[in-house]
Amino acid sequence: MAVDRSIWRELAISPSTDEREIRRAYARRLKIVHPEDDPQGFQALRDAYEQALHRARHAAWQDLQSAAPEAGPDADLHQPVDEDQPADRGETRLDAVATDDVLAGEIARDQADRTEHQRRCDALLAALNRPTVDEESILNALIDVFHSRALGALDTHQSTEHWLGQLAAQRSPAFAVLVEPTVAFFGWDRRPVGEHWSPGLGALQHREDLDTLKRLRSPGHPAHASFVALAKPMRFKDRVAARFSPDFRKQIGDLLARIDYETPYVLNYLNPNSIAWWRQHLSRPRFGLSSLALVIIPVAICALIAAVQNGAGRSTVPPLIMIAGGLIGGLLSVLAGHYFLILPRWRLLQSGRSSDFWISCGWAVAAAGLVLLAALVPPGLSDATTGVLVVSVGLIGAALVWWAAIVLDNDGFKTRLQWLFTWPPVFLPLWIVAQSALLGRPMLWVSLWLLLLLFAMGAVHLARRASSTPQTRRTADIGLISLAATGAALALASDVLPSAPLAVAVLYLAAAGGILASAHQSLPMLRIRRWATPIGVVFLALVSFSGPDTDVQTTGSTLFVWGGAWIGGLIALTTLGDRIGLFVKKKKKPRPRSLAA
Amino acid sequence: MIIGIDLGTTNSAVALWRDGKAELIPNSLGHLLTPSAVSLDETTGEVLVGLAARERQSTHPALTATAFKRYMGSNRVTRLGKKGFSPEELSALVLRRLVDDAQVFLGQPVTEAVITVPAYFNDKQRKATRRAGELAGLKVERLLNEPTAAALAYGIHELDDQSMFLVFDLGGGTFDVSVLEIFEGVIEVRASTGDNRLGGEDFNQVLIEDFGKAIGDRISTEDRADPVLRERIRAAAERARRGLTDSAEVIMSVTWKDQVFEHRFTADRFDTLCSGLVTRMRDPVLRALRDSGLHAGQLKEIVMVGGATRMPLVRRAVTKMFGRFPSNAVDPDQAVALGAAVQAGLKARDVALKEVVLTDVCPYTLGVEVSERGPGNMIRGGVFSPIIERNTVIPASRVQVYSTMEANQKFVKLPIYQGESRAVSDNIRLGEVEIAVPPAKAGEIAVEVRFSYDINGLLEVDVHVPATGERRELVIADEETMTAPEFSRRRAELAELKHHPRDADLNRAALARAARCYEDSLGDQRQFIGQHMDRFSFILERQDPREIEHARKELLQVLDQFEGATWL
Repeated sequence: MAVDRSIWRELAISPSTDEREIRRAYARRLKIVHPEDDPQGFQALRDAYEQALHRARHAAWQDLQSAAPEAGPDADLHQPVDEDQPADRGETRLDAVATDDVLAGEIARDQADRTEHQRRCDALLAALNRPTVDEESILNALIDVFHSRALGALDTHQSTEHWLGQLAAQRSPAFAVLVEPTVAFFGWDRRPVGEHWSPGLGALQHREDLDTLKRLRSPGHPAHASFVALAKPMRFKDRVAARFSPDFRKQIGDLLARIDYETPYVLNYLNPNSIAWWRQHLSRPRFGLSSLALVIIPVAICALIAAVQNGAGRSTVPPLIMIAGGLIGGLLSVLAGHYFLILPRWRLLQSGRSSDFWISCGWAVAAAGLVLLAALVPPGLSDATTGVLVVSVGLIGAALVWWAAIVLDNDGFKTRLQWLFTWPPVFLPLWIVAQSALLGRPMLWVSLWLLLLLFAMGAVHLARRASSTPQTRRTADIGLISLAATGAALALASDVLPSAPLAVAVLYLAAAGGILASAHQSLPMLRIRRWATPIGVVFLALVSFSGPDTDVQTTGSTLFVWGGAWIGGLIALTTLGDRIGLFVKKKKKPRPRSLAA
Repeated sequence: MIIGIDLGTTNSAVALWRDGKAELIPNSLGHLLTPSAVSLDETTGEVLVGLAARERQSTHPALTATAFKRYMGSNRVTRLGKKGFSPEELSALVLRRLVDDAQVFLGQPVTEAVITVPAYFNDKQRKATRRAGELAGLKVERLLNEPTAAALAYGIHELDDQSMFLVFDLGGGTFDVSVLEIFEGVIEVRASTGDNRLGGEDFNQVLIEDFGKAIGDRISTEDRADPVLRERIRAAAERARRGLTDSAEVIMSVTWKDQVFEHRFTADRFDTLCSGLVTRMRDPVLRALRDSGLHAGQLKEIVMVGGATRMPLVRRAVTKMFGRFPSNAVDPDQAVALGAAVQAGLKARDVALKEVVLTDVCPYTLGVEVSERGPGNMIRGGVFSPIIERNTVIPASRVQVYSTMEANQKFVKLPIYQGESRAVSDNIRLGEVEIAVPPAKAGEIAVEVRFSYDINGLLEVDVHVPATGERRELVIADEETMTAPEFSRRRAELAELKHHPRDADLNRAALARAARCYEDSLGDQRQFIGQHMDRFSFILERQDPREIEHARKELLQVLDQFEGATWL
């Protein structure tokens, strides 16, 4: 409304929809705010004037609409010739300058030409309206119109162009015949971009749709198979392909996206049921390689623990069973996570009721509970039981982290409260680890340490996927840094460590740096990661070379070393994966000369 | 006193606003039009401008330059004998001559001028025109679009009306169409379009080609490349085209190596030959109507401007297009200069023009090159993003915000283009600005680009990065502007050129025309002209003004007998 007032102030009149008054006011002001002396003032005046005119015209148009509501597009469809004044004008001026006989003759012939043109237009309309599409007669009638001599006069040309533009824009087989010839005749496709309005716009769109359709229908087109799948009712073959061929899925997705974006008209030629099925299928969350890695890695770690414990003669469970159990448990947790956590969540989102607070934040509460449970496990349990506990706690933790990733991916941090809830996965385990260490239960705190590791990886995942907001990035950063710092401090302070506490600390720090860096894309971070990778690899090699210590007392320290080595390897792997585009989407090379409107 | 100058491709004119009306200033020959031609007399080292220079076109093609306006804004160097001239410098010589005429006419020094340019002149060409004015020692108060000037000349008499009209300006080398509206003392240009490669010269070319076909092998291929022959054919074609204005039939004749080649053209034949050119005139007219949201029937008048609209062929085409006769209210050759004078009057705030305001438009779209992300994340580069749309009222200033496309993008490059195509490769590149941006995620850094198009049609680009507060300004075509010392050096050099004395212009022009006629004719006729030339030169040496004037008139009469009155 404030804008409103300033318009009228600029024009120095009271609000009005009278075009003449506005123009008069503009003319009056223009003599004071002269474009030569006061360019800025003039621009403001001009803007105000244009806005006022626009409003006035809009108001006039609305009046017209309310006065004659039945005057739809059909009413003015067939008015190829505006017979009212141009011819008369020519006639009246004839006397004034009747010196040139040739010119006078031209004008006299004009009227006859117009009548003839009108007749030809009628013939074309009749041909178009026949019940069956007779391409030849339509084309013949159209060619007759094109050859009308009356088209030489600009007003007839203009109105005929407009009329044919409207006809060619109509989406039906008979009218589709008009598209190519009219576009070629009036040269609509050669019109430049700045054109505010072209009578051929609709026809051009129609032509593009027809072109796309024709191309998609030819078997040589790369998207032909997808087009056929979408055009036919769902077949068993397609359902199978939808689940097992990511390529096919991608092709269909691309085709649908392109059709939606460029030529929605083509949708009319597709099977609505198939489209609906595919749209639903495509929009469902799906396992990516990176998600799988999240499951495989904890399993691998569990297997490693089993192997180390077995080697140390501490475990009664055979390593193979441990690994198999871990794998099966991992798969089950993933499937369970998918069907019980992610799909309901997704369905909720689909149904538009996604505001349930506990779904967004509940995972944090659940994780906290789990960690507490682990902390309260009574001492004196056998190592086998502890091992199983470690595996199960780790896997449930992984599922939770996964859920968190999805929730965060969909919502981000919406409220401050939610934001607060994202801290527990980082802080609680830290606190519990410290507690357990103090209480002197090495196996337990090692297991918790592993849990922490899982959370850390989850956080990396989160940070990677949700790093679009600075807030998430910062949270992940702080969490990871505290994790690394605690790890390093524990490594240095713990008396159970073997001879190389400093090395392990450095390893952790390097690992943390790498994790951190992979969550970022800014240049210094990339540089850190570049350095973290070789450091991690070197330490991995060193540690592997020294081999696990068989001394029972140093099992914990061995685990520490191996855990560190694993993180290093992990980072090396993810970095490598990043490079070759295995886990995450490949980053594009910076293109300096690019801008988006 | 500000004067108005129409710096045309073939002819130029100068006018001024005095006592409530615009009037043309005659040159030293008493003509209102001065041919835009420059010639160098190698024997005396004098520079000839105007009719005398044009007459030397076919006799001394290597020493004469015409139609240099077509190369304005380019780096092309025209060699006249040993000296090289840029199009600006040649234009400056013509301007200087016009200013001298005005000074003699007014009896007072003239330093300020309004110069007209075709509406379709781009930024570089406008800058070059302005430089030409400065080289001629003028302060260019304003660059005015030619059709707008013509409309001013016409509209200044119709001020009380409330009307729309169309200006159809077909000049020697350019074609402009403008739709204007007059209301309440405001003359508003609604739309301005054109084709800057369509003009009278193209009609000449049609005749030349047909003539070439008719002559066939009778002139050898080596001879055809001879500049002297080319110029002769060109001049003959020009004469033939003008002849067709009045008569239904004309004979185009060219003399070469003691042979006369003749080819007969009828008006009908010319019509058929030119049908392609006539079709090309329709598109800009239609576009102008569409841009201004008008129907052909709503126009009150069709105003014809430019020498080429004298052709009956063009008038017929226009009559057919609009279904009525074009207006004869203004002289097609003089309207532009008169309009420039009106603008000069406006500029000087003449009392008679106090209540008149003119607003003009930017005739083409200006924008920058960008890349876009399409479906499937694919990147499409080379896309033209308009900032100031065609037919925006000027002065105008528009801002667009763009954002970075890649993470950690270090700088943003903004190539600036003029044109209407969606792909920048089809548009005209005007320059480029580059600005550094801080590292950030893709799309997080915004870049504000402001285009300011001033009343003279000159563009200024201002790029601003709000994140760093950094600014870059660019006045287009800076890279090609001469440096200040170089500019003053060139100016001094031009001033040092020995000009042909003004009062001897008439004699010089007559002699040059006689020399051309001599070369064009054969046998007895040639001998006869030769005798007259000898006699005239002899009388010139005696330096008796009265006797010279008498002899000159006699000589011109003889020449008129042979080839009809000279055209201007």
